[in-house]
Amino acid sequence: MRRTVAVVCLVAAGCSSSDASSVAIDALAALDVEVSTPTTEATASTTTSPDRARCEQDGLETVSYAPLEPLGAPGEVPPGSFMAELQQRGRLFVGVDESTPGLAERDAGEIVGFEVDIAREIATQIFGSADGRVVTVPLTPDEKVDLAADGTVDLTISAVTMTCDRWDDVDFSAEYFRAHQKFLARQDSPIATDADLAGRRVCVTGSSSRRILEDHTRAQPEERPARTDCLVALQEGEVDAYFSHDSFLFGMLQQDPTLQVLDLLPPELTVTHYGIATAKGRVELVQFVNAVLAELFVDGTWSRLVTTWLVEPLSFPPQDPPRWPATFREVPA
Amino acid sequence: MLRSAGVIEAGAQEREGSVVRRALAPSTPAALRGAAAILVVGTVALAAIALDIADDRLAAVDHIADEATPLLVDSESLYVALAGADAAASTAFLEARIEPHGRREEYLGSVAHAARELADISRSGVTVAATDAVTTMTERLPRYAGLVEVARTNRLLGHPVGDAYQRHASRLLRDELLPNATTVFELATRDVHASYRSGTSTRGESILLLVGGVLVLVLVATQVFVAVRTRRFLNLGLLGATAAAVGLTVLTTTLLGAQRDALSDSQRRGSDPLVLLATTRILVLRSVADVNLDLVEQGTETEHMADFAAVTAEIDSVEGGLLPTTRAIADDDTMRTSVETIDGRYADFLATQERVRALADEKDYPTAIELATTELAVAAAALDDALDAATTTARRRLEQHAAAAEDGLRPLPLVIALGALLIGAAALGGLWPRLKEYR
Repeated sequence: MRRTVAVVCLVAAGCSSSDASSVAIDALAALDVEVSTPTTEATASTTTSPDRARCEQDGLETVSYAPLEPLGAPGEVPPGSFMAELQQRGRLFVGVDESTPGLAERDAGEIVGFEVDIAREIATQIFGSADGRVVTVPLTPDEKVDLAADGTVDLTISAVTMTCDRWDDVDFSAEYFRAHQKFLARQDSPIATDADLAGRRVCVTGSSSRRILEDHTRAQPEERPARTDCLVALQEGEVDAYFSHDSFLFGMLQQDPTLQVLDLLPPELTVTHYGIATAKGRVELVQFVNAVLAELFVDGTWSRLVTTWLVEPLSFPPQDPPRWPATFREVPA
Repeated sequence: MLRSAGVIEAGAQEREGSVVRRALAPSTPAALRGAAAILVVGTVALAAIALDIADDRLAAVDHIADEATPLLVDSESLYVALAGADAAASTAFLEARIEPHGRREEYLGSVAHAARELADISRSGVTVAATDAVTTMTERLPRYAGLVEVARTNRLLGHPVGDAYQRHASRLLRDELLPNATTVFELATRDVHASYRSGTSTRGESILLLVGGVLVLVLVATQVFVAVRTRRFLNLGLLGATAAAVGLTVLTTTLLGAQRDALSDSQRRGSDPLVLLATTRILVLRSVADVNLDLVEQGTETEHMADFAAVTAEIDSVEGGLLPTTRAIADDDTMRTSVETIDGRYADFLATQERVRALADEKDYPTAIELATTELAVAAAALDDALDAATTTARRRLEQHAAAAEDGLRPLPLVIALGALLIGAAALGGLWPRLKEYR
């Protein structure tokens, strides 16, 4: 109203109003008010479901659905299935990171890495060829489960740790990679044992890392939205160490040789199983993906990709394909 | 021979009253000396008031021309430089790892320009309110530049952490540098507005007319008195003083009125469009940054496009938007043509941005980024050029009319001094001969 009055006064002759200055200042002031943005509803469950209780009790976080059998030739998908819908659409949206050398990083405008190649293998099986079919959507660590759960992406292949509470929100494929959580610190850091972590500021980007730190050390966790934000914080002296998956940390050593990776906690505490996340209710897609993974394990493609992206460029410790549990999850009725 | 006692007493009373009247009524020379003193005081008062008003007006015009407007332009230029630096740096982030030719020079030029503008603003004696903003920017600009350099070095080495440094740099610029630049711009805008109000107030002329009118009345009353007491109906000195008083009052009021008109023209044709266009330019740059950041984060942060929508509304809204307001106050063909050009280029910019948006909504980010760094960047640059040209025209007009206002005021102190001397000399010249007659 005030702006309209000012404008009318500007146009009318002989008017001594608050003039153009007020119009301009009002425009700037209006934008100083925080613009409200639609918030996405948090999809994380806050109560323990019976499924989760059973999952935690029986250690079922890495138990997925049985692979689809038989897996047809590339481009052949069960009619009427979700994969057929993807064929119709022509593209597969995959949430990935874009700043983790080895797993997924941006190179010359494209995102490339081990996890992107896994996505390409899945796309090849759906479409017959992956060229032009995979749309990589960069995600921050706190988005990777939510955007799979709400269907923004068809799959998230971004070092998502399989946990029982996440099974409430998404379905996971079988394990496709195994990492361990370690510490990244300066080479002249006084941190040499887990006892030295007492009172130290340690950067984390995810809830699973934070939980381990809080339950088993006396370090002070400091959260950052992205993995590279933790590296920046370490380089800028804002934190004393960065606790995360070794699959990330070896890539960071490549970016800053003045750092070192420290293995300070028992492996049974730090083991991290990666699963491909998708929205609930797409069991057939999960079974399809598991069948593709099984094929990659058997024909040597998985090992070749790990060597190409992790072992050779980053000196990551070689590993065999993950061994899946003997049983599978029951398909919901 | 014999008179009644009542007649004798009446005569005595009459003689006694005459003595009293002669004792109370001033003599003619005393009255003339009193009138001379009043006329001198009145003339000095008129001159003092006129000089004070002229001085205030001159100060306001000087402040507008030499301080307020340069600060306004410098603060807008600072914002443009900062936003330009971030646009260059963040566009490189969207593009390939290999830095496009010229992008580095664009960024360095913008940072250097921002540093120069900060130094100019600091030297110009900013208000206390702006000092904090300038101090913050002076402290944080080197930090921003440092982060961008680290980002660039890491990017050239192919290290993904470079992108994180670029994000940090952009965040620092958006959260700390640009808001403070906006604060200085806002304060400069308010200062310009206050100066124009002071310089175009009619209060001075009203007071001058009142005081001048009173002096003329006193001169006329003096002439009547002199005519009655001395039986000389024409006193050339007093007549001349009256004419000089009328002339000085009218001339001074006319000159002040002309100055006020010139300053009003300066505001209407210069300052008003300048403020509106400068604000538009700042908001356009902000919306370009919103588009870039949204592409950088590939739609995972909704705040950028929400801000884009809010900014577009402020620029384009029919109800008091910046461009419609500028269009409404454009009162000549040159400005109307400039605004039409800006309108057209803004429409092109929005249309291209909608194509980018459509691609981003389809999650076709490579094509969206390609479009944003080519066609959209070209549309934004063309729009910025048009805004820059129109702002320069408005500034030139502001300075021309402010100079005219200043030129009109310059002779005023001399005119007032000479006019006052003339009034005083003529009045005293008219009264002195009459006073001499009573010696």
